[in-house]
Amino acid sequence: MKSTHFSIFLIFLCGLAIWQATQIPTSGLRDSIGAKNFPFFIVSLFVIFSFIYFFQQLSFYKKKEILKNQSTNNVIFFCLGCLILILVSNFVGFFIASVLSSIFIARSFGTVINLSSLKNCFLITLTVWLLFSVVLKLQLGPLVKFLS
Amino acid sequence: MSSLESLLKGFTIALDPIILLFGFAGCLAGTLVGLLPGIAPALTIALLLPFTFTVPATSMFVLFAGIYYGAMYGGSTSSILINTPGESSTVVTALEGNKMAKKGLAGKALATAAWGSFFAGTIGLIALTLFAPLIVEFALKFGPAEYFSFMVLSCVAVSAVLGNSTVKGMISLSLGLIIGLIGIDIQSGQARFTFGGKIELLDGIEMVMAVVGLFALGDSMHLAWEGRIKNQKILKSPQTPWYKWMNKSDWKRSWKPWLRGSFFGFPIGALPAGGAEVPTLLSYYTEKKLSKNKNEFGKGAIEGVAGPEAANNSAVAGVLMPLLTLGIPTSATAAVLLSAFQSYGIVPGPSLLTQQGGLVWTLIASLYIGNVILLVLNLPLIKIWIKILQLPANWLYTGIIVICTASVYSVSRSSFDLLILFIFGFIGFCFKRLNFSPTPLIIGLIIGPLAEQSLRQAMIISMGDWSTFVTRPISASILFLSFILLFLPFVWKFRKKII
Repeated sequence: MKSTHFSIFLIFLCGLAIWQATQIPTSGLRDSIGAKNFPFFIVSLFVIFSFIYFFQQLSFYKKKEILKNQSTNNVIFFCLGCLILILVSNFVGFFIASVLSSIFIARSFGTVINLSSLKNCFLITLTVWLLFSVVLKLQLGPLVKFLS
Repeated sequence: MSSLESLLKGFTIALDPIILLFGFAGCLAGTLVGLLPGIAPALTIALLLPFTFTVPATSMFVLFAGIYYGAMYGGSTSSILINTPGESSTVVTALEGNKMAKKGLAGKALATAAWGSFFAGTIGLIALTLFAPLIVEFALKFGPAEYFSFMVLSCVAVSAVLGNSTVKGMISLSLGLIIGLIGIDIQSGQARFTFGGKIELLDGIEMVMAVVGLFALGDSMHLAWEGRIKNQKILKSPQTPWYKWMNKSDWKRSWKPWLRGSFFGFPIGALPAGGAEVPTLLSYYTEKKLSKNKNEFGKGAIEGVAGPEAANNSAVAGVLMPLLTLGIPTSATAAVLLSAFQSYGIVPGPSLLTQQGGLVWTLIASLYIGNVILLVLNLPLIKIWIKILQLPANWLYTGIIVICTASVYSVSRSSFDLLILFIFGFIGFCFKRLNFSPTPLIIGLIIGPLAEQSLRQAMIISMGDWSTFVTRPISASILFLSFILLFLPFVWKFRKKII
């Protein structure tokens, strides 16, 4: 991720924010500010500074950004881990989704995936699940969703 | 009732065994949080927010205060022993502290940091006890216009002063303000930024998702991207008993930096955007200038550890001042604490000290007690902390991610929440990668709805007259200050270019 890419992402967010700000219906209340004006002001602020940043990065782009030996692969593994958790948790429950996700997350931190690391992922998730569900009584759902 | 009487009453509640247990747990958790790089106190408190539904407010705030204070103590240990600051405010401690440890003087560095934190923390708390009621008395004269102006100042100061660029700070802040407006507008009932009334967005974005995403997921993703997760070489802890770590000469060299650090920490911490980073830096450079052993700086000078450590602990009490008296957060942790107040239905502001006096004074009393607990925890238990620092970093971070996702998932067991968490994580990664500060985003998220409410109230009172913000002297002065803070960096840059 280079700063120019991020500035383009910010411009995209500006577009989303403007679109959403225009969707706010006018309030029927006798309120001099209303539900629309404050969001419009904030979105304008965001748009102005995002464009300043975008133009700053455009001029900087010519100088070429030097990236050190970073690992994009690690980020891909990290994102895959997160994606698995998002997509699978509703079907198989948090526990299994989290075990699967933690394998990819651990890989993104340079862990070699073998039987021992799989065991570690399982144990970490089990400990967290027991801590949350049994000790702290927070709702993480059943250990294995499709069996319950 | 005088503040001293209220404080004594606070002590009677704080010394209740259950409350004391919460305080102890907070100090322990805070020390751990401070020790481990990548976990901020704001993140830990945010992870504990779901418990506000079941645990009484007093116990919970005593726990939070312990975490906040403990993190400052714990941060110094990792800075000194592994040269990896657990907290941004202990970065300066690593400069001299780690050099001392490499020379075999780890005991002296750890002891001066712990004693300095204790003395400065106590001085900061005394200042908080004395000045909080005075500020509240003054703030009770504030109307919605002054409040709005104060929030503008807080936002601008955090964005313009923190980080290396005003533009980046303002982007972070405005993004936070927009996110803060997601959901149903309380006054008009209109849905805003909900993408056509998406049910999951109608209640707004939970603070826990933003904080966990930005701080935990973002930082971890950045570490993975850098590919430099490796186990640090930990320097040996001293073999002598902890009470022998500092000799007479060390005490003589340390007490003045402790005192000076305290005087930097509290007032700067109390300013919007003051935080704990600026006073620690100021303290370090002051000690470097005033020290009789200037040649030791950069090679392991005890004054370079004593001053900054005192400053960062004193700043914690300072940061609590605007939060408890005005209801305005000036750091990410304070913003999360404000969110915790809101989950209990408590409205922070000048009325907090009068309407929830018992809670506030118990919180302050528990900080005094926490200071003593932390002194006891830090020095004699150093061997345990070292064992924790030896945990393999890759598994440590994997565990942190699992805990964070579990905490977010437990709020409503929705994969949509996990998606929002991941989006915040991605933003956090980009912020870290491109030197954006996430603090303005967090502050914007919490201040946005409050600022809008004050703005609307001010406009209703003034019958729609915008000049109310500049005709009221206090409001006008605060807005003028905000204006200067926002535009000064641009003018400065322009002037520099011309010259």
